[in-house]
Parts: sequence; C-alpha cells; structure tokens
Amino acid sequence: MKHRSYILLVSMAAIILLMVVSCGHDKIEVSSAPVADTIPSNDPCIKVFIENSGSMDGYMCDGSQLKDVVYDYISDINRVSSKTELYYINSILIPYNGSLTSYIKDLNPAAFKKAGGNMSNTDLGDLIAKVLNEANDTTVCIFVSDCILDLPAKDAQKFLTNCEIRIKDEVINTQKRIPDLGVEILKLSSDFNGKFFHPNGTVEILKDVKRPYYIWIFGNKNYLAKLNTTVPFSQLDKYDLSGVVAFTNQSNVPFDIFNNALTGKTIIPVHGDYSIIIQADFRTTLQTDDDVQDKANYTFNNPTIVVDGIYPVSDSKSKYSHYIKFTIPKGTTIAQDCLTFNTPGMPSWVSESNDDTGADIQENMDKTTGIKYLIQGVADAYKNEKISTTFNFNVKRK
Amino acid sequence: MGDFLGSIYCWFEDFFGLELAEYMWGSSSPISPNNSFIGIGLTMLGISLAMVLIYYYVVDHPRLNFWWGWMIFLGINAVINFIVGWQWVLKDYYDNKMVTIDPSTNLQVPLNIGESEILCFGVSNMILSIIAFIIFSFIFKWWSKNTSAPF
Repeated sequence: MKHRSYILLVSMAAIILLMVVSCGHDKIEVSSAPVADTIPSNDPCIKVFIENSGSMDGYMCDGSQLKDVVYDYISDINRVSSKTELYYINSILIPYNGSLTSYIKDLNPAAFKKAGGNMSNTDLGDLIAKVLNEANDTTVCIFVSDCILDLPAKDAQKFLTNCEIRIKDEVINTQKRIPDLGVEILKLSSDFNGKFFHPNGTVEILKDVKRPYYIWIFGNKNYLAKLNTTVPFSQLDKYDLSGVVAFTNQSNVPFDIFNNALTGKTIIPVHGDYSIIIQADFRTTLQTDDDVQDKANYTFNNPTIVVDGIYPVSDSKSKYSHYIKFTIPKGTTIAQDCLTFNTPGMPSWVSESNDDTGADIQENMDKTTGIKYLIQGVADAYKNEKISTTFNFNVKRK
Repeated sequence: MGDFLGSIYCWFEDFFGLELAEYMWGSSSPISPNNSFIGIGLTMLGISLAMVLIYYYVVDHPRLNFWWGWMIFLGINAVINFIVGWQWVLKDYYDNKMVTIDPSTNLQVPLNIGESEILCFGVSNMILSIIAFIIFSFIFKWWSKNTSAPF
C-alpha cells in the first residue's frame, strides 16, 4: 500500500511539474533609446500669398468659402506666429501692409487689379519658385491658388512635363537651404462666379458653381508640425477640404514602448503571444491620420511580428499623437527589431482631380488642369524619401 | 514564487478569462501592479496544509480513518478555498482596482472582467486546493494514526 502511494505521489508531482513548464510564462522586457522632441518652442514667421491672376476673380464673389478659409485659418495660425506678412502674388510679389481683416475684405477683383502686376498669365512654376524663395528655416509660406496652368494650344503634354520638372528643381534647390523642408498641399472647394479661360483662348462664364482651389504650405517640417497642432486640417473640413498630401524627409519621432496596459515594460505572454504598445508623436512626419493609421504602411524587420492597429491619442496633454499595437507571436525569438513607417504613396485624389486638357470645364468642374503634374513635381523632389520614420526597440528575456 | 504560483493558476486562465489572468499577473492595472497570485496561492496552500494537519494530527480519530472521513476534510478545504479565492478577487472588483489605461485618452477604463469570471476564479482556486490537499495528505499522513486514509 505504502509503495503504491509513493508511486502515486511521484506521478502527480511529475504531472504538475510538466504542466508548470508547459505553461511557458516567459516574460520579456522591452526598451528603446529616448528620442528628443524636435518641435521648437519659438514661433515661426508666416507669409501668406494669394494668387491674384484673372482666373482667381471668380472665387472672390460674396460668401466665397475661399475668403472664409483664409480668414479663419490665418487668424488661428496667428496664435503661434511671431509675425504674419500678407502678399498678393502674380508676376511679382505685392506686399499688403494692412490688417488681416482688411486683406480679406480687399479680396475682390477690383482690389486685385489695383494691386498691380501681370494678372493675365500665370506661370505656376514661377509663382511657386517665388514663394519657396521666401521660405527659410524659421519662415513658413502659405500659398493660395486655383493652380490652373495656362496650357499652350500645342504641345500641352510637353508643357505639363516641363512644369513638373521645374517644380521638382525648385523644391530640390530649397531643400539645400532648408534640409527639413516640408510641403503640404490641401485641396478645397469654393463658390465660383466668374470666367474660366480655355487653353484655346476662349472664355466661358461659370455661374454659381463650385470650383477647387489649393493651399500650399512650405517650411521647416518642425514648424509645420507645430502649426498643424494648433490648427489641425480637420478644422477645415467645413470648407470642403477634400484632400491633403504632404512631403518631407525621414523624421526621428519621439516614442516609447510599453506593455498593453502602459503600466511598465515587462510583457507577460497570453497563450505565448506578447502584446506591445508603441506610443509615438507622428506630427513631424506631416502625414495624414489616414496614412498613419493604415497598417499597410508599416513593416517590421522580422516579418512574423504583426501590427494589430494604429490609433490616435485623443488626450490633449499627451506628448504622443498615436499608439501602435503589435504582437510578437508565440515562438518568435528576437533581441532587437525595427518597425518602419514607410512613406505613403500619392493619394488617389491627386490624379482624380487632374484634367489634362482643360477643354471641357462643364464635365470637369471639380478638376484642375495639370494639378497632378505640379504635385508630382514635389513628389519627385522627395522620391528618395521612402521611409517616413522608424522605431528601434530591444527585447530581453526576463 | 509568484511566477511559479501564477504558472499553476494559468492552467485555468481560459476558464476564468485572460483579462483576469493579466490583472492577477499585475500587468494590466496601474492600481494593482503586483502579482496577486502570490497572496492567493500562499493562502490556498496554507489553508490546505492546515486542513491536512488538522485531519491527521489534531482530529486524528479512528472513526474518520476511512476514505469518506478524508473526503469530508477535502470538501471543507475546497469550500473554504473557493470562498477565499472568490471573495479575495471580488474585493478588488468592488474596490475598482480592475482598471487599465486607455492609450488613446490616458484615462482609466474598466477591464472586461465580470462577477462570473471572478466566480470561475474561485472555482479554480478550489480545484487547486483539492490538488494541494491530496499532495499534502501523501506527504504528512505517515506519522499519523490515520495512515490508511484515503488509501
């Protein structure tokens, strides 16, 4: 009997030991090197340029949303600007010395005419070059235009390609002066009552229609990030904001890595899988929320690690803009890994907004002649920037 | 010790829920960052050991020297440990300790743990106490008069 009891006891002890070992609660500890915040505490100088060529007259009708956007956006941005300068722009830069209120009030064809310059033809490459020339490391330039290219009757495609290359060249030249140059382009729509100039020289009167226009923002990406925090683009949704695209170089964004409950850096597996959170401040990447939250834009060095999702941080006091949840699956052994946020591709609205000929405005009311080539020119200047940011972290068995 | 006891309780984590298991490990609540399996596990082992010693050395009566006598004490031990395990965790539940941080808002949000999961944890504690009682019985019975119980 005693012998049988011993066998039973030893068998039970062996089973319990086996079960304990098989549970496999191997904790890990994650860590990362701290990354400093690059968003400056001082405020940038803002320069606002509104194109005042003839094609812009139609946007200056009563109740036009373009005026509201400029007034609303610039007055909000004034909170974080050290100085705001206002300009009209056509063949020359025309400084406006009055207040923002009178600048908006004066947004009408008569004031445009009075301001001077050549209003009949617009060389957008030249305009963008002029605006870029005004930007520097502490000056952000905001350019408002319908961005309609004056297509020649012949060789339109060659003209568009030349425009694209011209823009690329100008942006590359500015990158040499401002290494952290960022470019943001917003597409909005406004009421339009006025003339549309066809490439063949004919003029068509458009009444009570909605036409697109664009806001281009150039400057040091750290200042752009600061402006975006003060006045998020989502605030412009009420003005028919239908597309945003941004370009900049690779950023070092501040981030930290935690367990699922943000209580520490020790991760306890659940069924062998380790759930981890990276909290990061994506603002200096200038990318839109949709792009930041798109799992397809992320890759791990070790392809077995899975991104569960990217979510915004709504706490206004948090120093992070988003958090990334990911899982190291059971059986994956890593000591160090890197999560890469790849630069998103060109958004579809860019090609959808493009009209190559400008011949049939009634069928292309929400399109802009040649806009794709202008934006592609900027994209070409950033074609080597395939990575938006990276997150390096270490994993240690505990 | 905490890891060992936690690993034993993890046999039942699918039964009482992964969220409660993570809470007990101390990895999901900023209010309860320590391993709770240590306290509950040691209490369960202590009660089981005490019941074995009472059966074999305090009561130690020939009338109970049968398998059913031993089963009565095993049952009492199981009930006590069910109540202790259940109420121990339920206290944390009513003290609002079962919360985690929402990474989006940085505010505390309740963990997805209900009273039924806590009841299941009590049952798990009860099952483990039965195993502990059996093991302690085989270890400590040899110097008692009741050596023939349970076998």
